[in-house]
Amino acid sequence: MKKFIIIAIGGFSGANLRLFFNNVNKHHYEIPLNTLFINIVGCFLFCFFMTLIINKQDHISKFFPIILSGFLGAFTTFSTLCKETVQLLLNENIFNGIYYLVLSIVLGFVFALSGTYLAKKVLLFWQKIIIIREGL
Amino acid sequence: MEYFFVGLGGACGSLLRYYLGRFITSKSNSSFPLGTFIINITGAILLGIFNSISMDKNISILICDGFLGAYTTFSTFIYEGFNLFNNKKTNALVYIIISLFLGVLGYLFGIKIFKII
Repeated sequence: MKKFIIIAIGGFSGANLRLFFNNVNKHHYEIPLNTLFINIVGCFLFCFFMTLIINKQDHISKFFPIILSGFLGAFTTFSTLCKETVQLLLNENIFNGIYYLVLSIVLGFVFALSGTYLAKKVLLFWQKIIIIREGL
Repeated sequence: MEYFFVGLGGACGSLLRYYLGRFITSKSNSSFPLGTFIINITGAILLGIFNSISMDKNISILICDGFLGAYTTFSTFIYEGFNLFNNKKTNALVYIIISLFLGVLGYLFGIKIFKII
C-alpha cells in the first residue's frame, strides 16, 4: 500500500512538472526542444540516482527506486516523442523528424553517461570521507 | 485545474507502468527489457488513437499529457538501453532502434486506424 501511494504521488508530481515546463516555455522551435530538454534531464537524474542506489543499497531507503520510477518515469515521456516525430515527418520536415529522433537518443545516452560518471565520482568522494573519518 | 488533471492522469499512468512492467518482467526470462518495450509501444499507439479523436481540452490533458505521458517513459528506456550497451552492444542497438521504429509507426497507425476501419 505504501508503494502504491509513493508511485501515485511520484507520477502526479512528475506529470505536473512536465506540464509546468511546457507552460513556461511556449516558444515554437523547429524541433520540440521542450520534450527534448525534459527527456534528457530525466535521463541524467535517473542514471545518477540509480548508480548511487545500486552501490549504496544499505544506506538508502528501499523506497528510493520506486520514487525514481514514479517521478522521473512520469516526467519523461516516450509517447510524446513519437507524436512529435510523426508530426514533423508528416509536415514534410523529414530531416527535422529524423534529426529530433537521433538527437533525443544521442543526448539521452550522453546525459545518461554523465549521470553515471558523476555518481561514481560522488561515491569515490563518499568513500574517501569515510576513510578519513575512520582515521581520525 | 489542468494541473490537477495532468497529475491525476500521471498518477494512474505511473501505477499502471510500474505494475504492468513488473508483471511482464516476471513472465519473461530474457535480458531484453520487454516490459518497458511493450509499455512504450502500446502508449504510442494509444496516444495516436486518442489524438485522432476530438475531445474536451481537460480530458485530452488527463489522457494524453497525463496518463499516456506518464505511462510511457524515456528515462527508463535510455537507462535500460545504456545498461544493455555495457553488456551487449548489438542488443542495445536493436532494442533502441526497434523501440523508436515501432513507436513512431505505432503512433502513425493510431492516428490512421479509424480511417482504415
